[in-house]
Amino acid sequence: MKKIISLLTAFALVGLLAACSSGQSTETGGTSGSAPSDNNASAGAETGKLKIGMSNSILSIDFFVALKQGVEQGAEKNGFELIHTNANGDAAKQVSDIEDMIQKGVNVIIVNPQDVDAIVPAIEKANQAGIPVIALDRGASAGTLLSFLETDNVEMGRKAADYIAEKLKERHGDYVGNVVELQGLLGSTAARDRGKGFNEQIEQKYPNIKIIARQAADFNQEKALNVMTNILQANPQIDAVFGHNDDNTVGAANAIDQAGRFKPLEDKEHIIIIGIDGTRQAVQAIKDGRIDATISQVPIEMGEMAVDYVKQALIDKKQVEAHTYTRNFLVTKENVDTEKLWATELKSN
Amino acid sequence: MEKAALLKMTGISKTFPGVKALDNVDFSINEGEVVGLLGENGAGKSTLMKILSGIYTPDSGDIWLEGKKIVLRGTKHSQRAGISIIHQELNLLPHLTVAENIYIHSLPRKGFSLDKKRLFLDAERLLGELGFEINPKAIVDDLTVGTQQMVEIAKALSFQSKVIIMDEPTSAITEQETAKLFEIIRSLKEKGIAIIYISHRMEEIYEICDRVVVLRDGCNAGGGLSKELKPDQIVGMLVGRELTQIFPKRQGRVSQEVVLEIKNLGRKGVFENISFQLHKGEILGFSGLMGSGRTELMESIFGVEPISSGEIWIDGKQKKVRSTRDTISQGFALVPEDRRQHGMIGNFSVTHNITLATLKRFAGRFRKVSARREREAADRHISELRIKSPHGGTVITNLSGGNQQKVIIAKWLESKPRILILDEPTRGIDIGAKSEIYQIIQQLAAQGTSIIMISSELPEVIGMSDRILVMADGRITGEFTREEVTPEKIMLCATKGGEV
Amino acid sequence: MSDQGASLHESSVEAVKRKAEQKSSVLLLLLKNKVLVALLLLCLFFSTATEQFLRIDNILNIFLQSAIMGVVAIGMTYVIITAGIDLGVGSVVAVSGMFIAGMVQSGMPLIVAVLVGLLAGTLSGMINGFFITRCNMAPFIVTLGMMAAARSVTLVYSDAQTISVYKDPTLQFLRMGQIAGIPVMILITVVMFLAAHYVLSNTVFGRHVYAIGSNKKAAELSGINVKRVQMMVYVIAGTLAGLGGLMMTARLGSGTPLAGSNLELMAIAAVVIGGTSLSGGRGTIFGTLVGVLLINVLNTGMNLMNISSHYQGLIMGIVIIFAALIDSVSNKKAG
Repeated sequence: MKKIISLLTAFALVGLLAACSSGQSTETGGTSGSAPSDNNASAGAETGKLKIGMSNSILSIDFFVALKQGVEQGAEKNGFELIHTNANGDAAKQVSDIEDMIQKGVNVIIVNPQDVDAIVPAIEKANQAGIPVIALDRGASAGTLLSFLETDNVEMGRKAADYIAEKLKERHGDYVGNVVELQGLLGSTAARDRGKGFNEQIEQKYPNIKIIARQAADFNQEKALNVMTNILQANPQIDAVFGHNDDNTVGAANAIDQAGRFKPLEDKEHIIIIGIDGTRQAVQAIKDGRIDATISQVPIEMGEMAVDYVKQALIDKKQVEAHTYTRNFLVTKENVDTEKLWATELKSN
Repeated sequence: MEKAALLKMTGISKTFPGVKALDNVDFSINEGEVVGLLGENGAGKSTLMKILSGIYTPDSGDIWLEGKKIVLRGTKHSQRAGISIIHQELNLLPHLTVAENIYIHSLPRKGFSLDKKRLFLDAERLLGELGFEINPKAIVDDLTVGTQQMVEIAKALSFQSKVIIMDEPTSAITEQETAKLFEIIRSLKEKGIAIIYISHRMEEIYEICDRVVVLRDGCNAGGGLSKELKPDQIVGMLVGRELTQIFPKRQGRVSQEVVLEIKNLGRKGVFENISFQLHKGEILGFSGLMGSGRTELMESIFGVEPISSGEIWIDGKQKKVRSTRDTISQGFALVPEDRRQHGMIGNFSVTHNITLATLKRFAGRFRKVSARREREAADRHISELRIKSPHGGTVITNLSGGNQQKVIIAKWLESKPRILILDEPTRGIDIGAKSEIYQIIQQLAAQGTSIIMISSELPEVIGMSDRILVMADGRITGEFTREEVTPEKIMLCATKGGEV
Repeated sequence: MSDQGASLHESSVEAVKRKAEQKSSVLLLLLKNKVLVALLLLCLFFSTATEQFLRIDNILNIFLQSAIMGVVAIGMTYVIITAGIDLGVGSVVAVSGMFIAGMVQSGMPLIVAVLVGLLAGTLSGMINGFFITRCNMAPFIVTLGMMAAARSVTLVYSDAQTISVYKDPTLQFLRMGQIAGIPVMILITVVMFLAAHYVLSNTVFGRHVYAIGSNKKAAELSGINVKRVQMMVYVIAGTLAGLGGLMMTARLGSGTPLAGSNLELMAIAAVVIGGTSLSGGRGTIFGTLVGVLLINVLNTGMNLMNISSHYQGLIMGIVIIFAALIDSVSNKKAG
C-alpha cells in the first residue's frame, strides 16, 4: 500500500512539472515557437530562428524586471526565441544557469551579472563554446564580451550632488547644508560608483555642504526606514537626503513622515530627497510631493538595445559598440507627467 | 453465562504483517468485577487492550457492551462508549495542572477563554468524590508517580467510564501507593465499575482480582476464579509448563576478595555517606523504595553523574571516575532501569545493540567494523541467552521486553565485565524470561563476576542476593545476609530510614 | 510448539528475502529507495521533454553543479544523523572561499591559502561543537549564530568586495580541468562521497554517530564518548564547508562575500529528501547523493525546459515537500 502511495506521489510530482512546462509557453508570449534546437551555436543564426538566452541576476527588483522586459520586447520584435533564467541573487546559481543555457544551445547570451568577478567563469565557458555574450548593467572583470551596456553610475551620483547643491543654494543663498547619504549594498558596483560620483562632486565643487551621516541601507526600503529613523533622531538639522537608489529614498521618506519631520516642498524645513533609478514607487512619490527627484535610467531601452546589437552582430554581421552608456535623466515634479518613463511602461505583473 | 456481561469480546482475531497477534480470543467482564489479564510479553494482552481502547480494529470478532454490539472507531469513540485505559507509561501533560489534565478532553470554556473557576471546582468535586487528596491546582510534574496515577484514574472517571483498563499500574509506584491504589480499586468496584487489571505480579493478582484470564501466544490459555487457582497452576497456563524453581540454586562460593569499595560517597541532595564493599563473585542486592537514591547512586559509581564527596576504590586502589569510559575500561557494566530510554538504541538491530559497547574490538584495518565477526558474536549470545529473535538483523524494538533486556545484558557480557550493575533487571518482563535472566545472573556470579542488583521486588532481591543493602532517603539504612533477611526487616528499613 | 513454528516460518521468509536480494539487488535498491525512483522518473521526464538532457555534456554539467552542494550536504548528513543541525555552513563556505581568494590574490602559495580555508572551516566546526557539547546549547541557535557571524567575517575581510582570482592556474585547473574526461570538481566530490559513505557505514565512528542520534543517553551509558563524536561531526561539517569554499572560489574564479547564501537550507533539503531523519538516528550518504542530484536535476531540467523563473521556486518547493513525503510515507509503518 505504502509503495503505491509513494509511487503515485512520484508520478504526481512529474505530472506537476509537465503541467507547469506546458503553462509556461504563453509566459514568453510569441517568442517561444517550437524551433528545432541546434547544437552548433554559431550555425543557429543561419539555419533557424535565433535563440537568445537571458540570465537575470535577480527579479525581485523592478529595474531588473525592466531589463528582462526590454529583452523580451526586442526578441518579439525581431522574431527571436528567448530562454530566460533567474539566479535569485546567487552568483553560483547564475554560473549554473549559464552552463544550462550553453547545453540548451543558445546562439547568444544576454546576462545581467550578479557579480562582475564571479560571472567570469561562466562567460569564459560561453566564449569556449563560441557563444557571444552581452552584459547588461554590470560587466565582467575578464572574459570576452560582445558588448556591455550600462548606465554611468558615477555620472548619476554627480547629477544628484548638483541637484542637491542647487536646491540648497535656492534655500540658503549659498552651497551649504547638511546632507545624509544612504548607501546601497556595500560591495555592489552601483553603490560604489554612485557614492564615488556624489562624494567627489560635493568635495570638489561644493566643499561647504556637509555629509552629516553616511549609512548603508542595502538598496532596501525597510532597512532604509530603520537607518533613516535613527539618523533623524541623531540629527535635528537635515537639509537633504541622497539615496543610492529609489528604495532607499522611499524608505527615507517614510521615516521622515513617521518622525513628524515632513514639510511641504515650499517649506524652508523641507528635507530634499533625491534617489536613482526611477522606479514606480519613486515616480508616484514625486507626483505626491513626498520625494523631490530621481535620476531615471532606461532599463527597457537597454534590454531592447541589447537585442538590436544581437541582430546587428549575428544577422547583419556588423560591428557593434563594445561599451555603451545608456541615457539617464533627472525626473522631478516638473517633468514627471510628460517624460517617457520606464516605470510607467513596465508591464504590471 | 447466567447474566449478561457488562463487556464481552468474542472470537477476536488480529493479524499484523508476519504475526498472528490474536487468534479467536474470548474475554468478558461483569459490573463491579476485577479481572486480572495475564500473559507473557507478546502473548497478545496489549493488542487485545488496544482493540478495546479503539487503537486497533480487529480482523474478526465482536465486542458487546451492555448487551449491545459496538464497533469502536478510535480512542475518542472508545472513551465516549465508557472504556478508558491507563497506560503503563502515564499519558499526562507534565506542565499542566491536575485539573487541566483531568478535563483536557473537554475543558470548560467561557467565551473564548478557559473557565478556570469551573475547571478547578469540577476537579475538586471529582477528586473529593474519589477520596483523593490531590490539589487540583498542582502541576503534574511535581507529583509522585503514584499520585500521577491517581490523576489518570480521576481522568478516566471523568468520562463516566464503565470499564477501566489498568496496564501494570504498580510497576512504578511504592508499596504504600500500591496499597492506596488497591483501596481505590475496591471502592470503584463498589460503584459497579469493571476493572481489567494487567500485571506480572502474582501477589497482586491474588490480592485484588476476582478472576483471571490468561493469554498465551495470542490464544486463550485458561483462567478461573483467583481463589480457586494455585500460583503454579497460573504459571503453568502462562508458560505452558510448570515452573518449579524460579530462583535457581546458588552455586559456587563468594570469595573474600574485595573488588569495589565505596567510601563515604555523596552527591548533594541525592545521596550521602554511602559506604559498602563488593566481593568477587558476589550478588549484592539493593532494596528500597522508588526514589530512595539507588539508581542515582549507581549512575554516580558508573560515571554518568559526578559525585560531590567520597572515594571509589577498585581492586584496592583509589580511582577517579569522570565518565563511563573510565569505569567501563575498569570492567564495569550497567544495565539501566529504563530499558527503552537508557538501555538500547531503538532503531539498531539486535546485533548492533550487542556490539555497541565493544565495537572497537570488532574494527580491523582502516577502522572497518567486521560485519562477519559482529554477526558471529551476536549469534553466540543469541543462542547462549536464548534470545527470541528471528535473526541478529531484527530491529530491537520488534522484540518483547524480556528479550530486549537479554540483548542489553548480552551487550555487556561481550565486554566481559568484572562488575555488573543491574538496575531493576526484570521490570515489566514476563515470568519465563525472568527466570532465564536469574539463571544468567547466577551463572555470571559463579564465574566470578561481581553483581550489584537493584530491585524493588522483595521476592527477587531476597531470592537472588548473597547480601542485601537497603536504602532510604539517600542513605543506607540496613544490611542483611541472605540467611537473616526477611521481607519485614527490609520494609522496616526502607520505610523508616535512619536507625537500623 | 507454535513458537517454533513461528520462528521457522520467519527464518524461511528471511531466506527467501536473502535470495531475492542476491538475485536482483538493483530491483531491491529501487524498492528501498523511493526517492531514487522519483529521481529516475524525473530524469526520464526531462529526457523526453528536452533533447539536451541526456547528452553526456549535460549530465556532467549536472554533476558539476551538484558538487558544492554535495560536499556541504555530506557534512550536513553526519550532523543531522546525530539529531543536530548546522545552519552555518553556507556562510562558512563564503568565509573559506573569501580567505582563499584573498590570500591567493596577495601572492601566497595556493597550498597555504587552501589550508587556511579548510582550517577556517574546521575552526568554525570546533566553535559550533564547543558551544553545543560543552555549554549544552541547542545546535539550531549556535549554528544560526555562526551563520550570521561568519557572513559578517566575509564582509569585514573583503570590505564587501569580490576578490577575483580568475587567473590562478591551479584554481583554473580545479574549475576547468579534467582527468580522464571527468571534471576535477566531480572527482573530488565523488571521492568525498565514497569516503563519507565508508566512514559512516563501516567504521566505529560511523556507528557511534547513528547511536548518538538514535539515543544519546543509551550511547553515553554504553561508554560512547558522546561529546567527542558530536564535536567531530560539526568539525567534519565545517571542514567540508571549507572544502566547499575552495570549490566555490574555483568555480566562480573569485571569492564573493555573498557566496553560499541559502546553501545550508538546500543542503538540509537534499539530506532530508535523501531519507535522513531530522530527529536523528537514520540516514545514509547514498540517500543524500540522491537528494542532491534530485535538486540539481530539477534545476537544470527546468532551465532546459525554459520554465519561467517565477514558477521555478514553486516547483522546487513542491518537489522538496513531495520527495520528503515519499520518504515519510514509506517509513511510516517500518518503525
